[in-house]
Amino acid sequence: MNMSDKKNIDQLFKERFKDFEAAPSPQVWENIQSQMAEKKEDRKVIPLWWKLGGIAALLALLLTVGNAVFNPFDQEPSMVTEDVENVKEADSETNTDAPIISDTEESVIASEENTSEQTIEKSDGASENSSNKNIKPEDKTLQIKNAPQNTIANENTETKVRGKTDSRVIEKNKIAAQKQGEMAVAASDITKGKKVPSANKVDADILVKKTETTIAVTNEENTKDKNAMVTDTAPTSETTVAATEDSSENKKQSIFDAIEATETAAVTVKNKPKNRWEVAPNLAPVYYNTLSEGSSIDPMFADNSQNGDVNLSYGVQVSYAITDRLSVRSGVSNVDLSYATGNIELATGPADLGLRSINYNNKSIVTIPVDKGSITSNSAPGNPFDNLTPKSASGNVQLVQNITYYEVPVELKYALFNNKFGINVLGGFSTLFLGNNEVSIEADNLNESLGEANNLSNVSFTTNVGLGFDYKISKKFKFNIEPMFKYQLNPYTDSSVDFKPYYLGVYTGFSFKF
Amino acid sequence: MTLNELIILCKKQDAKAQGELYNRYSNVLFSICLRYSPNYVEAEDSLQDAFITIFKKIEQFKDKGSFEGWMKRVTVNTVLQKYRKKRVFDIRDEGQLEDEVDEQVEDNDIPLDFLLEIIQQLPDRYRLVFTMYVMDGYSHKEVADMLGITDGTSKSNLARARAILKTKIEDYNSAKEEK
Repeated sequence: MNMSDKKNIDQLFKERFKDFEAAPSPQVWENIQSQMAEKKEDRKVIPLWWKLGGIAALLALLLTVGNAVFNPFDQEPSMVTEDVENVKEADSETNTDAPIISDTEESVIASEENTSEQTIEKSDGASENSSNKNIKPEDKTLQIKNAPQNTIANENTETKVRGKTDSRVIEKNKIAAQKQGEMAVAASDITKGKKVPSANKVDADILVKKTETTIAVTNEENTKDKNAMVTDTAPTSETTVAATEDSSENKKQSIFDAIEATETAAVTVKNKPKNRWEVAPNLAPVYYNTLSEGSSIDPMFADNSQNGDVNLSYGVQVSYAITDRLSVRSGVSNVDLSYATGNIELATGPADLGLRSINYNNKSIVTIPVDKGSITSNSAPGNPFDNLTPKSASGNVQLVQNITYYEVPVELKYALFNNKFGINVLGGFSTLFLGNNEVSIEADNLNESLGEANNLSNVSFTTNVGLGFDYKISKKFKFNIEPMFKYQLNPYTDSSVDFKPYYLGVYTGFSFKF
Repeated sequence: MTLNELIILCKKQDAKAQGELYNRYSNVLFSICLRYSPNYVEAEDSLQDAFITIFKKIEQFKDKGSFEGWMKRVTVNTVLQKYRKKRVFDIRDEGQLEDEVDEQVEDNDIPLDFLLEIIQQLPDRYRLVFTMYVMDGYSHKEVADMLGITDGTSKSNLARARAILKTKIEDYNSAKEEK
């Protein structure tokens, strides 16, 4: 045997494998391609929520801006007096013309109906608004019976009253087609038998379209709808011009109402929107789950049966109405989330072998959950589970993670419909502060806490999107139900955790306006 | 196309660029997978996962250092993750062997196939330590960190791996001699 042939074993392998290359089968690339295609689709789902939340928030913002830009004179009496010249035919004509209104104006009428309803409601419930006395008898009879429910009525007391008592404001408001109060105003024009249905109709159309697009935008991310929105609002400029022209024709009429205008103007001033603040304590059953396939505790559990639990969240919210449709709100609530992983078996062993994502609080021997079948079936020599002692547990053994967060949401709420039954669109973000958390083992004969998870971020965020349904029990008191979807953005300190949690909550409660 | 251009396109998720990247580097990365995995099938699985991760995380590659080196690290980590899941990392002290012993074998043109085979036949934890230390040049500390074991265990595992490999090579050599 030639000694010089002998080589250090490390050297041998190092040299021989230095330029080692091998080709995988073509199937590998095909698999990679199909997986990449899947991931592209997955990625589209999550940004959908971003988009919805963002669109809702953006829309709300635009409306606020639009409102501010187009109507800087919301509560100034001076505008009213200016409009005296542009005064239209007096409402000496009764609403006998009401029935002749065409279908497209139904929504306008309906809005009028609601404003009158609400105004009447107001007068029932001792409102500060003294102009209630000025509600003319014919206005009350404006209850058009066959008006559909899908109206665009406002809740804002100021515009309500103004719509009813001061048709002169129409002129300036017409140009700002986006102002909510317009509808009531324009409506009152029509119902009072004015012969300018075209101008008003245009406003009606604009607002109807606007509502449609609002709904369209919030319901779909489809760009087709966005194009629809663009084309729909295109006519706005033309029609507003038409409106202006038409309205100027009618300037000559109704100078008789000048006196009435000044009277009502004074009254109008008083009608600043009050009750902008609202407090709402709420309770919500919250369902917790993940959008991805992994496990938050250890990658070995990624393919185990997992299910989210339902817990209760409670808290309080405060909202401020920026306009009569848009409000911003915040608050604080306590959210308990929990999640269970099954198909596990237990063992005891040294803490070093325990789950990495858990703080064992300096215990030296701990209970260790592993995939079912890992210990008992692995009898090969040198098996890695040698030094774990199986621990028996009866019944269904589950690994349960409980997390408590303190949530501070900041959300925008836009009212799509604002009658006795309201429907709102909600969007925004929450900041979550981690409270207690615990990972524990639950079985029939055993309930043991393992420790805290150490991979949860102390501060994380969610994007929130949802719908709100409310029922106005009285003008200051509402009952709300708001299903919301909240997706967590950065729940883990370790970015390799393949768990994308979200929670669905149905927030119910009462709110009080003040 | 230069590597840099390829990287830029891959960052934009350009499918053709990704295909080209695969063509250029799949062999190199596959050989890594083969050395870490117990068989061909698992090696292919790991390669698949590795490329998916590479394509996903390429945006995070900052043009600092070697791209090939980065891809190799991603590949190694991908394979290790699989074994982390299997909890193969044995901390129990098997009686520390010193790894300084210079194991020697005869090298009579032992075929590469055979060497690969005996590597793959090693128990997982020995194989991983051996391939990382000997063939990929990681230090015992790095191996220990990446496998979640102690330095000492890494050295023991290496020593035991060498012992097993040496025995198998000697068996092979004597079998060959008998022909």
